[in-house]
Amino acid sequence: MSTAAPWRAEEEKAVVAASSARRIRVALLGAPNTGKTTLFNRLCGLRAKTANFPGTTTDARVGRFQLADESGEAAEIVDLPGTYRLFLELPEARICRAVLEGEGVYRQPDAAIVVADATNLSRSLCLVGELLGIGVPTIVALNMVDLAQRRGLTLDPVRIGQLLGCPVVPVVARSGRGVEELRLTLASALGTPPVTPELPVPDLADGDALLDWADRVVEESVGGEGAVGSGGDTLTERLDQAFTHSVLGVLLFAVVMAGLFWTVFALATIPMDLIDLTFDVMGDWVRATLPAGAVRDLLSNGIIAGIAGTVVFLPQICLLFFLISLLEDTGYLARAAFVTDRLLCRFGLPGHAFVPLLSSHACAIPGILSTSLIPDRRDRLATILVAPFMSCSARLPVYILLTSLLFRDRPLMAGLAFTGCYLLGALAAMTSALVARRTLLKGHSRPMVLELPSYKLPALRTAVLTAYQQGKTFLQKAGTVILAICIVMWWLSAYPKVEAPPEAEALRAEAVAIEASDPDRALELTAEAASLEAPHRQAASFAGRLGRLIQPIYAPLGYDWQLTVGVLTSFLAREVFVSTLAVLITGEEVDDPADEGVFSRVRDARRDDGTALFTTATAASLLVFFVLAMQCLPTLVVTRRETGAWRWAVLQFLWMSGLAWIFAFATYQGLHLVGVA
Amino acid sequence: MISSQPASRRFPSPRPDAWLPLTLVPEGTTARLRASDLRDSDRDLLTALGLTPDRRLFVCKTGSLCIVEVRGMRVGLSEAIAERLMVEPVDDSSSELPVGG
Repeated sequence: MSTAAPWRAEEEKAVVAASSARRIRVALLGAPNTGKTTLFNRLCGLRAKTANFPGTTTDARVGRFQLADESGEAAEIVDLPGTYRLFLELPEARICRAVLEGEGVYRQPDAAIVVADATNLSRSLCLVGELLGIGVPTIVALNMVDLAQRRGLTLDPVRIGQLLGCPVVPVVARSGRGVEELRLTLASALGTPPVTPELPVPDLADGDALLDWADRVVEESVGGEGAVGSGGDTLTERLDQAFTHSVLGVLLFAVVMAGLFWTVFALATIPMDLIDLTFDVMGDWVRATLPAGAVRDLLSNGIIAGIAGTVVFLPQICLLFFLISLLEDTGYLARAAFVTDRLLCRFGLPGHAFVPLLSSHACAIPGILSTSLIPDRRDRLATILVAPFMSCSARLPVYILLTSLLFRDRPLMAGLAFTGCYLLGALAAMTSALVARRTLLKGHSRPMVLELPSYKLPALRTAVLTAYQQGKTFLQKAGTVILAICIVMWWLSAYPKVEAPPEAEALRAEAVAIEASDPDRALELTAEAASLEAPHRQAASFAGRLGRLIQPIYAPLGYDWQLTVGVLTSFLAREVFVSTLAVLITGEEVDDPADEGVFSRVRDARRDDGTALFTTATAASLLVFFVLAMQCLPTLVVTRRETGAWRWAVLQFLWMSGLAWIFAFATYQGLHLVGVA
Repeated sequence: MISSQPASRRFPSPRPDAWLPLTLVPEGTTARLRASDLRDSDRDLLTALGLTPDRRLFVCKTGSLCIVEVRGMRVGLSEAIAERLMVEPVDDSSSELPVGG
């Protein structure tokens, strides 16, 4: 394994710093779906940090727990990626080997805990055999013993331990049964000389011998119906008939996904509205309390608005991960991946990419975060790169405004154009994935070969902790950068301060003069003055000046300086486009595109030369631009965080925005060519 | 570096008559994995899941998603992989366990 890249050094040091003092270090290993994460959460609770394994995009969770009782020594535990074997050339196996060998920034662990599935012990034993074979002090946590007993298996942990020559502790990670004994066993096993196994591990180079050895351990220690076979899980067989059926499976998948995303949308709206309201009240309070000036502006429009813009994503992120964790735990997601694989593999994406791509229709940020479900690094990178093409909810106000401008009294056409935007985004995502897989991320997606775990009830505690961890990670890693960017963008839009135009000054003076005699008229005059001042300030701001400066780049797309400023500010977040246009044209900070007054004033707005701001060709070109362009700085920050490098975020920005420019240009010029102005 | 045995040997030529692509084997059949036409990395994936040469497997389902049971584990394989696996149906009335080694 290569050493850590320079950009990652600080992040990794932070994780490793937790163990600067010499502390017992334990590696947690296990095959996928053995309850490894549930056991990790049970041992550490909230005391876990997340970073990436060196040179990878795979999450590394490092936690602490008490070895024996509360007064006992603390140990540090590293949750390694799920793997069936150590000595295979698969990414997850390479990470496990590197950590076990103490490569990079990770100190070599003192012991390993292998979580083994008691309902199918043989599938975990090859990994145990490999660890014992290379001399790693190992403890086997025999998980889901309750389920094994219900299926008629009789397990003898003591006998298994004698055969393997290492301690074996039966546990039920979901309920916490046996976890205390596991701590005690680990404490007493450390420093104890190894026991001679009754069935020594064969030569690790002989894969078949290892499999036969694993089967012999099971035969000699596990009894009951189906001890070496399937364990008689007829429920799983029956459910698989439905969930993997060529027609019924697709229908059930559609129902499950519709339910998942409806729940995310419906339930997240309430806390999101509350967050919006809370920060609005805070902003109003600051504006009412502090004297006018730069500090008040910075606090109310920069910092509070920036924090609100970050925190508002939290409900969607936490809810999505909570529900995905529940679904994954049931065993259904492995089947769902197969349902979508047939479509996505044609574009070089794995079936696992479906959930992230679908989530991106709500918001690309939780979508990109949920790519952690994808086991292969290249598959994951390809999915992250194309996920923001999916039309997110922030594009909706822009779509509504522009489709209404294009098809004013033709709702059917407006509806079709709206649908076309979603299809164009999805098509761009698929095509871009195909291009990425044939160039930068050469190769096809990892073939779908997956263990189909038994169906079971999900662990609520694991889902809650997953949601908490993801939310916390988002705030720590992305939130701080998003806040900084929001402040910079606010400064660019608000400065330099300029004098109000003379017409506005005159109106305000008149308002003051008649305030006592005709207060209603005074209010009207003040509002009129504000509507003159706001676009004046916006045009004179750094953002406005920049808009004028770069307008020639957007001129071939049909945009004047006002539209260019709108496009420019919307790089902070797309929904800002409508409010920026409203400020530039009407002087009011209104962001409801359905507002009839705003709509008609935007529609009738003029350019400096007196021509209409929006023609059919301009509106169509803008619509295409907004479908394809990467106009969301928070998403770029999350891309950097998840890929571990700014170069992927920069590539995403350049590719999407470049594609947007080309297609918007083609739309505008094409419509002109056929006589549609 | 310790290397494992590959998941299955490459296609021999000529191919024995009794060998069939996994996709053509009827559901409910017990078979042995004989060969594969896969890249090394894909074969490593199969090895990880216990699908090694001559290993017995039970065909639970075929189609766009193929499900086999091997060593007590249900493994899903996409059709693209399954059609590249050559298996030989075996007499499942033998005394051997249906899906063990």
